[in-house]
Amino acid sequence: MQMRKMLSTKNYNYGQYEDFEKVNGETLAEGYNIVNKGCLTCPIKCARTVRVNGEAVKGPELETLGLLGGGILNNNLQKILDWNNEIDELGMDTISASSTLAYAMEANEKGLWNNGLEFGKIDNISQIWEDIAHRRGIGDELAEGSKRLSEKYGGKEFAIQSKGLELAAYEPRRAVGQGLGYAVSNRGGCHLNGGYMVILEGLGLNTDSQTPKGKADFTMMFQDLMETISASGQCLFTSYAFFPGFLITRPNGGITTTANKLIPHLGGVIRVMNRFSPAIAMHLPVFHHTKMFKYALGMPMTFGKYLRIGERGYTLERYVSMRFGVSAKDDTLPKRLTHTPQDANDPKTVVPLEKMKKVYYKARGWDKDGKPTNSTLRRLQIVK
Amino acid sequence: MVKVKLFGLFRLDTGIKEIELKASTVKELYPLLLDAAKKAKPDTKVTSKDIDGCIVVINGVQSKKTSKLNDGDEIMLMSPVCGG
Ligand code: SF4
Repeated sequence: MQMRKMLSTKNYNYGQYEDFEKVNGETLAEGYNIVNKGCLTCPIKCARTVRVNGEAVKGPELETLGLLGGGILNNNLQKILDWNNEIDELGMDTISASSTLAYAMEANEKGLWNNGLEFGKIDNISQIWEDIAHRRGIGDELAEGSKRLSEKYGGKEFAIQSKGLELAAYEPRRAVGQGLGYAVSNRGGCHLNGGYMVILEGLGLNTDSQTPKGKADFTMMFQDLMETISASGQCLFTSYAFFPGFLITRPNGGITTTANKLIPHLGGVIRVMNRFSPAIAMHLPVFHHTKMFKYALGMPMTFGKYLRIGERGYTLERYVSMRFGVSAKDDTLPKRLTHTPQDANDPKTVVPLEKMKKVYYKARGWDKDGKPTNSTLRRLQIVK
Repeated sequence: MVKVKLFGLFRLDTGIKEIELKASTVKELYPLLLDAAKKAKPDTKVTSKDIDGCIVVINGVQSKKTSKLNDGDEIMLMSPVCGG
């Protein structure tokens, strides 16, 4: 992320943090991780166990490292471990808590809200988490989240949220498909419900991260696949296995380079696959989730059916949200991400959101206002 | 001399965070790195394939294994995948 300038730094002002090596995964593994833990038979074992106040507790995930590290200009890894544990114990979300804190720090820096919070000043942060949970003092205000705070104090352009949910640590001006996902996600600015296009745009593969081409159709497919993965109780992290190993282990190889170049041009193919998914009446050799589903439940399953279940779920959620007033006007990102280039010398380093949204609505069979059309609802058997 | 910073498997298995080496292209670094890994840990899990599979960054810019190196360059060899 650091290398690709997609590591949210100082409340998404920048995409690189000069002290990233003090708060990255390697430093965690070398100096702080006691053991990797996870579900019984999983070889990934995604959970970290670290020591806080002499006790072995759950360690931070990537988003937490990013947002409580470079996000607030903190290079003290032990502090992140402490805060991660405190926020967990208080039953709060580390992404929303840290991003709201970053908003408050910037609002203070800009003179909009005199709250005493400063980037890089980390002494009293533990008290802040307690105060948020118990709604005391400044914590009572921070508990409202960055959307409502920016409506009160100003600075909507740097309240890094969508539909009231704070974004994860991936800076979308360097992964514009991820930006589209954050904006249209049913859950708000969620990196997973958004479709996790960043996996193609830098984390796993290395496709052109600035082009809007092909991003809408891939976003729809990934959202729908992840919808079924989640709905069926499978683990989202295991969906990384979707990529044939050689694409990941040979990032500089000819096949990977060709795949990276090709992907933005595959939007049309993906559109047809999404639209006529039931016709894909087979398991794909690279996507094992459909077979797992079949063997575990005895339910006939194909890739196409799996995809269609996801599309139906995603659209149903949108249909319900629509009844609560959600429409295209809510599929937004803060202006910092859509109007202020991350690199002042490169106007392409913004999220071309409106352009991608149009294609996305069309791909989904939604109208210009982001509402599923009647024929889409009928096609998915949501209405008769 | 160039400075090579290491991440992922290489660093975690061998304990080498950074190393100074003499090479004129990235490709020339690979055998030297494998030697260094074996010297640091004779039964290292790192293979030439793992080194070849890293993403190469020279002075902050993503580069290729055929890229030329100049004295004083800083090279980062990053793991090919991350996320969460
Ligand atoms: S990757 Fe998924 S299945 Fe594996 S340990 Fe983590 S949560 Fe469990």
